[in-house]
Amino acid sequence: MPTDTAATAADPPTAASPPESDARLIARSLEDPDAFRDLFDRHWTRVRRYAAARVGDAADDVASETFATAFQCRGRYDLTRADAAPWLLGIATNHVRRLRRAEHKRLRALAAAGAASGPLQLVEPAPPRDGALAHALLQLDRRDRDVLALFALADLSYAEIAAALGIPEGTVRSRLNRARRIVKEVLAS
Amino acid sequence: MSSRPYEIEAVRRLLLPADHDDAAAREAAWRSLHAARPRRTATPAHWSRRLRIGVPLALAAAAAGVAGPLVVTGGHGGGGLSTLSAQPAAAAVLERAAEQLRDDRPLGPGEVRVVRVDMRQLVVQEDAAGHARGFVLPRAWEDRVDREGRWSWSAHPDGAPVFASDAARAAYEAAFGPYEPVSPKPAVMDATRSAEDPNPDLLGLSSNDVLALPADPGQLRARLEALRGAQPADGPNDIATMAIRLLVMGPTPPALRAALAEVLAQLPGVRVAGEEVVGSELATTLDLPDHDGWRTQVVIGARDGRLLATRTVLTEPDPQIPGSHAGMVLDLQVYSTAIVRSFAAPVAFDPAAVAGPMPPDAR
Repeated sequence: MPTDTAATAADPPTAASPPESDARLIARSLEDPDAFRDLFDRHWTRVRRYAAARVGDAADDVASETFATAFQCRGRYDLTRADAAPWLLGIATNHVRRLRRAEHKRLRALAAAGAASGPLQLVEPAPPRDGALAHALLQLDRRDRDVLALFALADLSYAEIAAALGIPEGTVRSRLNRARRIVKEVLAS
Repeated sequence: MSSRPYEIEAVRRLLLPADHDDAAAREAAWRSLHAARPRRTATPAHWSRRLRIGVPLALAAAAAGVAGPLVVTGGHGGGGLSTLSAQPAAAAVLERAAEQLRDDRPLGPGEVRVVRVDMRQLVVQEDAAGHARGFVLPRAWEDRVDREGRWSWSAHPDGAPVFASDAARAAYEAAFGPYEPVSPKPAVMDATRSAEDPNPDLLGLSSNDVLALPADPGQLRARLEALRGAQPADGPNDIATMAIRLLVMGPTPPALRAALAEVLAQLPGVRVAGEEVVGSELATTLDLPDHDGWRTQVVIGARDGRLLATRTVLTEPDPQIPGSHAGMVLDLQVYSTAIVRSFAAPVAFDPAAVAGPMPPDAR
């Protein structure tokens, strides 16, 4: 167990204290499981919205499963990381992988709907079609799509994505560059 | 105007849902998590992994933790033949099983192997005063796989919880109310995978990956070693557990099953614990190498070398489990197998009864 004193369960915050860091909440939840509620409230909406963008109707399942996993594994959380969002979104991404069919189904539906509904209202470079973009996302390598999704949909930085997925930051950059290049090609076509 | 690159903005516009008040969904999710959170299976996480497929099962299979002072009816070992606990005896059992498994009939075209797992698992919940209240929960699921590695599975509704006594049930219900399966159970949940889909229950391998594993025990051992680093920390990450996982599930062909048995036969720390009867079949119980406070037992049938059952056993009292002791059985899984002609063909299983140790109060 990391021994970062800033994240120990002792010394609970007073009313005048700044908000507890996620790491501190997690540390406290090891002794007081109800403290996990604060972490849940803090991140639920972001995790669920990310899940909804990936798997549509299965978002509630993914979000619920993410927090169940997080609660189960919180003893192994790296308490030197104050913000738990990358960790939670990494867990969510793992659960999305198990629902790859749901994600593909959603992208296929978007591709079909987009093909029928016309271009997005974008300014540059050329109005793309939802269908073409969804089709391109469907064709991406799963690992590239995970990185793109965490960057575009969850607003994680390169370093945070690396932490979320447990891969080197350089790998994040190369995967993201590849995915973005493909998306740009679709938008430009 | 967003400062994001246009292609990122396009992806966001396509996929991100509109912001909306998800308070209802959040509260529902928290209620489910909170209701399940104190309810802990005493089973080490590696066997709980199978149960984490699907939200309700995930919630019910929270981390190994506190178990209550339940009456324990099972003892260590299978049938009192502890004098056979030398490793050579275990190796002989496994090598014989390997020979039998190698001769097993492979799946034919269009045939589907159905493996039903009947599990009894100790589940514990703490009441507001911190008192542990426990029961044994019967669970069952089925895996179906064909020769090409296509796969489906179904989880059955939980069975009725088994309490140590009427008084234990009364105490539990006074604290928590009658046991209710976590929504949406009871239900049957189905999922399917193609032969290319990675499967968390198969060490993250696809069926095609499994079919391509070497049938040479040395090469197979090396492949399993190479796969260890890729396993989740709470997943099967030792050779014995990984081998058992492949033996139990998946499209594993006869030659590979035989090689897995031979890998187990060469592992230090595997020893004979005793004999027991599964259904009407005599079987040998083997202890796999100890983990930190627990071990897995496997039950090998004498007739055909098949893996008939596994159980998780404490090797020492767990300070987090009041009343626990060495030999306490935390869970039992019994495997039944059938060959059918299609994925949809129903099978009327009659799960074999086990005479050896079971979770407390389960019989």
